[in-house]
Amino acid sequence: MKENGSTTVLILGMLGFLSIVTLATYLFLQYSIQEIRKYETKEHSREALTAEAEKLVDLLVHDQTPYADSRLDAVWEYISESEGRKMLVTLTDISSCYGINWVRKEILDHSNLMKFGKSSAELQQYRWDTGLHLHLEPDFTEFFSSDVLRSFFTPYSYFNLNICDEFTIENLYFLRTGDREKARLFRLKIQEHWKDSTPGKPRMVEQGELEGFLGPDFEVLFPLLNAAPAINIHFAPEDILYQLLSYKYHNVPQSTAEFLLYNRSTQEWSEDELESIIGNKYIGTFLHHYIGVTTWFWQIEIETHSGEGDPFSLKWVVARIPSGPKNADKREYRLIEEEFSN
Amino acid sequence: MRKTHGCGFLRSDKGFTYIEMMVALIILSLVGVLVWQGITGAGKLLDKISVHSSTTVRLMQTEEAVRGLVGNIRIPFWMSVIELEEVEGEIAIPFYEGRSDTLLEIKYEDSFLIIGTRETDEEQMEDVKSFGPFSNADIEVGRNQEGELFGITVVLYPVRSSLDPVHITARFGSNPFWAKDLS
Repeated sequence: MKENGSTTVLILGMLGFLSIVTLATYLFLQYSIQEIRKYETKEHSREALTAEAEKLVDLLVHDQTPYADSRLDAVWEYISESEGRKMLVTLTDISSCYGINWVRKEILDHSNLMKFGKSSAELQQYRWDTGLHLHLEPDFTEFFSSDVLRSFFTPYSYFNLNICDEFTIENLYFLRTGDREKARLFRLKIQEHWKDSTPGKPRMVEQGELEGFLGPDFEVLFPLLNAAPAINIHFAPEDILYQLLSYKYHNVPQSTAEFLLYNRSTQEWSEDELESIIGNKYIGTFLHHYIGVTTWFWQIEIETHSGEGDPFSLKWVVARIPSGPKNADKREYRLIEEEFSN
Repeated sequence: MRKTHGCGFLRSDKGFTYIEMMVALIILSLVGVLVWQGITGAGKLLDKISVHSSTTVRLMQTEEAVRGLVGNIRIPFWMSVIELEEVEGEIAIPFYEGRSDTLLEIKYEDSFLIIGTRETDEEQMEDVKSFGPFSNADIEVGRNQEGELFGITVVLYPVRSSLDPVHITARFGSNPFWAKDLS
């Protein structure tokens, strides 16, 4: 037997092998733990952001002035304090623009927003052929520049029977029922109703008359199709308000328009107050179907702002459900879009 | 030092005796067996930890990816009925990125969960991603208590039967407005 220790070499070899295996396992476990921690952080952030978004919706639901949405509501004060909660919160009214799916030809012609060489009739035909769209770009870039699309139009909007293009209503009816013939007949019914209408004295369907006018179709179309004003005066882009107020059949005096634009961020008006400010033109024309005081679609964006690690963000789009005859007093919001990212 | 006489069976100044060698070999064998058992035990433990760990990480990555892809399904708020293409173990959902003609297809095939997109009038999937291996996967549409569609649910069965199946619930990025009441 040798005395120079061949056994020691064997043990050293085994120890070396064990060390390599242990080191590899350690590194792998470290990676796994890191991944699990990352996942847990993400889940924790998701929960925190969701709780914040729910708090915002709760403030919208329990607004002290439920008849109107404005900068004076409590939710805006809560947002201004969000920096202290290490979050960056943004609330945006995304429905107070022209609905890209419903805006009528005459308003488009008045506003002069289309690309050179494109007509409102071509847009109407395009919408008829392709149905309703959820994206402004690239779907409508053939007709409008990107800037115009972003500043004046939205896909997030309900369809007010009085100001909605009738071919859009037919498409909407078809999407809801799958019955093209019934959809066509419904469009004809609306065109028949408008037949005796004149721009100065339009025939309109008011909110209280909607169920009677739609009959059995009410269940299928309401609340998507309604008679509620589409645009909130407190948040709408200034150019849109100018265009609507100055439209030849609305013809609101310049001084009144300026009063509304100047004071809308510091005052909260009800629809009745708007009527008393604007006068008979508000109720007597389609203006009260365009301009109101309610925001129907809100976009909530929240970003963690702790300064530690990567920021996480949550985007929600929530829709307020228009009140119907069965839920007149209920203030109801639905989550229609959610996006979490980091 | 005490001198020995004769053949020196028990002890010799020149080296170890046979008995000493035998005892040493027996002790070495016993220690070797113990060390070997220790090494194999530790190896098995490390292997188990690694398998658990890698399975957990793989499942987490699968869950993230499935949630992300299903989150890209954006059903417009005006829709009432969504036509799904559903056969056993395979679902195709329209409105991927809000496009009515683009489907997100999810299926389980050859031990892998496969997700990709395709146009309604085509059969070939694009941007195909596969996750696995898994011993099985159940893919179903997710419905709320009122039976309304809100996303998909996937149950993944890990290859090692000793591990519990994992349930993934992935919600669509946007829903018709009947889907989630916040009020």
